Amino acid sequence: MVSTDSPGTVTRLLRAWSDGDQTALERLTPLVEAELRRLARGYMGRERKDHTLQPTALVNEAFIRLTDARQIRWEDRAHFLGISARLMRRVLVDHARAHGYRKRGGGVEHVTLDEALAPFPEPDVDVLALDRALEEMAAVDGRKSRVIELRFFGGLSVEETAQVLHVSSDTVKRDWRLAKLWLLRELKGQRR
Amino acid sequence: MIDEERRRRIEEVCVGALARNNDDRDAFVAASCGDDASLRQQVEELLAHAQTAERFLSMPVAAVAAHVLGQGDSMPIVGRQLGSYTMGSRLGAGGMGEVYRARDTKLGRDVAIKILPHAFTNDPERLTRFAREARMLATVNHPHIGAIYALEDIDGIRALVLELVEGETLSEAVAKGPIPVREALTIARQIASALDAAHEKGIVHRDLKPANVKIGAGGLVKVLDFGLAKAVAAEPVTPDVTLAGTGTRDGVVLGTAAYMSPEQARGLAVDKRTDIWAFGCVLYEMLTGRRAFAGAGITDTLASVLEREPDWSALPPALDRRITRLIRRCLEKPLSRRLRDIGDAVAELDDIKEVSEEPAGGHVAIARRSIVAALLIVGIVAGIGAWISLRGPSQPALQEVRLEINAPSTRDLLSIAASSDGQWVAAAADASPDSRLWVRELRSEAPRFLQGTEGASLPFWSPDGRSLAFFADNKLKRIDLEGGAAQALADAPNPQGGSWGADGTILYGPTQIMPIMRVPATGGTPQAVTRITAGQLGHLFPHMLPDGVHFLYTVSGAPEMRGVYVASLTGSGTKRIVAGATAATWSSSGYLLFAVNGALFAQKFDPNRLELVGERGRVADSVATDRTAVAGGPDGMAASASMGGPIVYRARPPQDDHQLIWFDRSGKEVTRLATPSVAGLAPTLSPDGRRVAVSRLVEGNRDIWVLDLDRNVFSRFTFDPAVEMSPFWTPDGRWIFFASNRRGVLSIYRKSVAGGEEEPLLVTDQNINTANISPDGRMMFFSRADPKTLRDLWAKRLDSTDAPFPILRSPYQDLNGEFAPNGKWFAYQSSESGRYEVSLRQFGSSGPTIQISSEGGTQPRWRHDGRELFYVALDRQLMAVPVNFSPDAQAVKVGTPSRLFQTRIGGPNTLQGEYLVSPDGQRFLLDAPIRDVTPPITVILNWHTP
Repeated sequence: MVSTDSPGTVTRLLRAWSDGDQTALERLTPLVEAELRRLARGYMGRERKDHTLQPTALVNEAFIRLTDARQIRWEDRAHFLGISARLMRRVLVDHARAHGYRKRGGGVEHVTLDEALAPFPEPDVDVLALDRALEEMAAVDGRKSRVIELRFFGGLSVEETAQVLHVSSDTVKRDWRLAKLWLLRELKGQRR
Repeated sequence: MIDEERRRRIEEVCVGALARNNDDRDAFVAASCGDDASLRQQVEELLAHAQTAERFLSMPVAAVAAHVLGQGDSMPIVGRQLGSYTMGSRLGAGGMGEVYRARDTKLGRDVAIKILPHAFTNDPERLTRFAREARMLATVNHPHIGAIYALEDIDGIRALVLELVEGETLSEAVAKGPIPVREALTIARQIASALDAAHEKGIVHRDLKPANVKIGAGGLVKVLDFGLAKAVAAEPVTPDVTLAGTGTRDGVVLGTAAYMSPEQARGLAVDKRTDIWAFGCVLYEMLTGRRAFAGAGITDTLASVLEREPDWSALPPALDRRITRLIRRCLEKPLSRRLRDIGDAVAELDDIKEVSEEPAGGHVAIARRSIVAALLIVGIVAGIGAWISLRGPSQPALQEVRLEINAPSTRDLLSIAASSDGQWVAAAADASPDSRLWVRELRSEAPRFLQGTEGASLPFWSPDGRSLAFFADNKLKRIDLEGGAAQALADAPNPQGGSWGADGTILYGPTQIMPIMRVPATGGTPQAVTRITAGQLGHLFPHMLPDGVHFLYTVSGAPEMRGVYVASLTGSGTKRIVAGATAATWSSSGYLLFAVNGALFAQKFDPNRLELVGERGRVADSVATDRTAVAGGPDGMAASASMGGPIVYRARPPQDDHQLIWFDRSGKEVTRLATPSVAGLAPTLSPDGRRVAVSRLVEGNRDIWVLDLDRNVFSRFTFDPAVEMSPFWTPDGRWIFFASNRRGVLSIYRKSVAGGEEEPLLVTDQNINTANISPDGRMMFFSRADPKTLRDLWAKRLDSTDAPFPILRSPYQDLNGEFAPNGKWFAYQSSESGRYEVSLRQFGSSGPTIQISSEGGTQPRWRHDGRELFYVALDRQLMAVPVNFSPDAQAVKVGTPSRLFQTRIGGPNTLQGEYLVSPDGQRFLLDAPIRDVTPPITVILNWHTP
């Protein structure tokens, strides 16, 4: 899991990624995932099973530990939140994929989070299918795809999402509703 | 693919349709699409998911990421091939990373591999320095020193390849008791020789302790981790550090406190004589089975190192005097008097060994030390990293950084306090089994829960950071972090915060309706230091200013009186410094922090003129000001600052995560009412069972709202900008009674369900709340605040103009009275036992009190036929108790409480109802957080003044 082609610090990778180097993200993800998992295990050990974290806190804390927060110049909080959400998506999708491979010997269809979500009734979310559908959506309507990414994967509020995307809260709400309808239609089509 | 314009049109129609209810939706779509059948099909395909979409993705996956990611197995290092090393089992973990056994396939030997933590390897500068140190250490080749083979960088993993030394550590050996003298001296001789060789090369171990000494096969001793303590230091150790208490500076990696030399403990420059000191400690410990310098905690241990002498009488009586002298010379506190060269010890030991005889006695004679205690200390020390020095004079202005740290689950948001040196935070957790205070060093990872603080709230630190004061069991208490029981100092039945001055004076607010009191931290008679004047309700949240004479506090009451005030312990006048603000605290750099409308502000304070100067600046948009996530108006501020620098605060939790949910008796969710209740309170059911009235906080304004259960739609019922809470539906179904503070104090109002005025029903000079009406509609129950007797239960006849009269006036909190369906008895919650319990009494009689709950309880509610009473236990279990009244209702039999299910409502400080019971007692409508989100604690470093 921890295998980067060339060694690099999280700080450097983040910077490279911000500068448009997509391969930096590939190398960043496993590093962040390892730290997230380590933190996650800590929380799991301490908390009741139904305890949930403040959504942005986990990834936030992972960054704090992985980097010297003072050495990274986040343009602003919105910038940080946007990057966190993207990374969280990558980490969770990778995780779902790896989990699926391990469990099913290669089959990766329909890896859901329902087990983890058990205390909170929620329709099954097939993370990998959702990820694919989001990519398709991004080709047509990038902003809606980002809204889903920020809100669902990043745990951002409507206001935070609006800040990241430089649009109004009403626009975010509208995108959010519509995007979910599109996604549900897409996902349903795929399952059948 | 659909073209852009087409897509926009589809969306437009969808949005329009979603804005209408189900009934009108079809017609709207039909009208909008006209004869464009394909448009209509597209729209309908999307709208088919409208209902599912409401809940779809509603739980951010980030919120459960810990569960998802934590489920996987640990990072699969074991069994992996890292370069030419095959990783074997994990041997242990230290402050410097995890250690694994491994096979070097190239050289065909077994090695130990230490995987360096990311936080370490991500700092290029540190890594470079480490590599340099490691290279130097690798040149030391000595039979008693564990060798460093290599520093590898494999697949992004930094690993230190070390000699694998099998065997027991000296700390394991000594845990069994003293080591026989001859054996101890043999071990000591080998340690000394290892130190001698390293010192020859100018290398100091810096962290010599029994855990770093291994005794292998045939008694061969190896000293491990030579020089690593320095190598991992974040910056070259400089001699300008002073260490007060447990504080330390970035770069000083602490050894285990017990083996630290006095100069190390002071943070001074360190040379080989530090190793000589540690050697003395180790030798002493081998011979006595106990530590030369011990203490209950790290601070105490360090104090022992700096001030005390070891117990020399613990050494074996027949011990050669030369050994005692050697140890004494190693443990000389002034450097000038300490043994200068470990080579001298080698020579001395060689001499002694030839003549010494092993004394009788032995290995098991002395009681075993507590390994647990030792581990605890090691753990704390490992946690002492180094906090970034915030005020280095030579440093340029630092970038402001805001960090979030996750905190144990709680609804007690106001309980948060930074220590005066800014390195620690204390807060309360309220989730069973850990409903206790915890402390955490900001730089460390895990909170430490404090025993003896069960149910505690509103902690604040002593100026030296060694003790915490807090409130629990209706008392102000203090506890020393290094151990010992909590000590009660004064009564504080409804605590409103406190502050601990440098001279040992504690200021605190004992209740919502009393002045600020003072009491010595060592105990004594409490005295009031403020006086409540006309229009004021109570004085809350004192905060001592640095001069130790003046203090801040918050005044509640009439709007024109509210705000933050400053007063003096000498009694010389008091004045308001910020109107409309709550709970001020002092930060370094002379600013006051205070909350206004849920935002956190800072403004410069002139300590001479005792007033704010300059502009106020916003520190945070949102700070929690409610005592709990669901309570009413602002009653404090979840923020704390310290002289040391960081500001810590908790943001207001999201308000949209409450929902009214029907549960059955087994706790299974029956119906989730789709509209979130937005932190509602005190739901009450209409007698026909079709509507629910609840107090909701919407856009900052708390009002009564009515939910139509058939249509699942909320409508606003009261419209005043003041706080409206605690609705109660009259038995005839025609009125809703509620409490409102529109006249300053909470009073009882009513409004017709059919519409009309919100009319005052009962206004007194005190806060009255939680009206409850007898089944015949003639009698009203309510709780009344009283400066002396706290909350009491009062009643008022509704069919006459007679004055209200007290039902229960005890010096405890008596509230949430609820008439039994027969109208002759009532259930209520009282704090008489030190925590809330639910009890039963006959109305209008001085008969006995029958306690219902056994392990604490709040919010009694009746089944409609009066044969069962429900309440919420302190651990948030919903409980049911069978109740059997005699036919004339003169006697009652009460069964044993049984648990129905775990809820997320209730808790030790509950003042309001949060659920209702269906008439048949089979279903429960809970106004609960749909998830348990505890806002993280935000830490602001290098705060830039506004």
